[in-house]
Amino acid sequence: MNQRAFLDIVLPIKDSLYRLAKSYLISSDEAQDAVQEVFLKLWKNKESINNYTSPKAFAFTMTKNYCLDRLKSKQASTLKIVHTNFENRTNLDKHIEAKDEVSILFTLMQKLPEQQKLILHLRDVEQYEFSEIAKITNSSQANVRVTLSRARKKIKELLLKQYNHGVQ
Amino acid sequence: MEYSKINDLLDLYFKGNTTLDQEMSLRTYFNSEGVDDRLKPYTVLFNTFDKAAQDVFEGSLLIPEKTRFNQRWWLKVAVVMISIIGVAGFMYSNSKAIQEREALAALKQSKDAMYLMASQFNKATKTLSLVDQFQETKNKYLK
Repeated sequence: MNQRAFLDIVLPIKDSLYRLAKSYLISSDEAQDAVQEVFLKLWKNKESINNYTSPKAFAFTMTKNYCLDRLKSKQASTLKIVHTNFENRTNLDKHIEAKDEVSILFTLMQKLPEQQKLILHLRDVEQYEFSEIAKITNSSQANVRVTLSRARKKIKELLLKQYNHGVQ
Repeated sequence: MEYSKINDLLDLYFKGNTTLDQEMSLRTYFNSEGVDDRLKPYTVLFNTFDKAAQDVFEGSLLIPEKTRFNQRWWLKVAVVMISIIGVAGFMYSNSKAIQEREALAALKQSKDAMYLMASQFNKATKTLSLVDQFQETKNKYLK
């Protein structure tokens, strides 16, 4: 596979992958790094990319896993800093960034279980059809609907809680 | 759109049973000015999804070019092959030289041994000439 063919597959989903990464990592810089990393990984595995039923689904799963790894390693380093009683700069940055509305919702979304978060993102941000989401998440359409419903209800609950808090 | 209709759509939405079109009309409703007060809490939800969807990847992606990658791959193989051949050739010629040296040393040793034997023989023949002398003298007197 040459570069042209590879880019034809991955470039159209560049923005989607970026948004997905951002929903996990909050920071746009980190999300860009994540997309870059995922693209390099995909490029390295470009020969096998066509073996997957959906290269798109493969890219999404890869991005999700990469972000989870990043979060895990970040969590580990945060723990170290807390332990030595230092002010954590990344936490501070996150606080500042979380002030805009998009981030507020994304931080609420962080509280959802993995699968719920992914499906909610794919449906409500990316506006994918259920069939497509089922392919990406490797589950049935009925399952996707159930998970989506749970995610939306949970977000509603969290949102109303926060809203009432603000009013009082 | 009136409140009850939107409320019904919201119910469907939270049950995960709305179509993309229905979700679109929910977005347009919450993006408009006349959102019913009872539905205000949900504006954040739909507006944020809308905003998040407009976020795009900025900056450039680095993808290594294939041709360069391939050339380097061949170069690596070539370097490894050449060095293997070089080392093998060196070891082969080296082992030949060692064999030759051993053979020469063996030749020298056997030559030395031969010389030693030859000199012993010569000594012996010299002594034998004395025996001849004795025989001659004896023949003179005992006829």
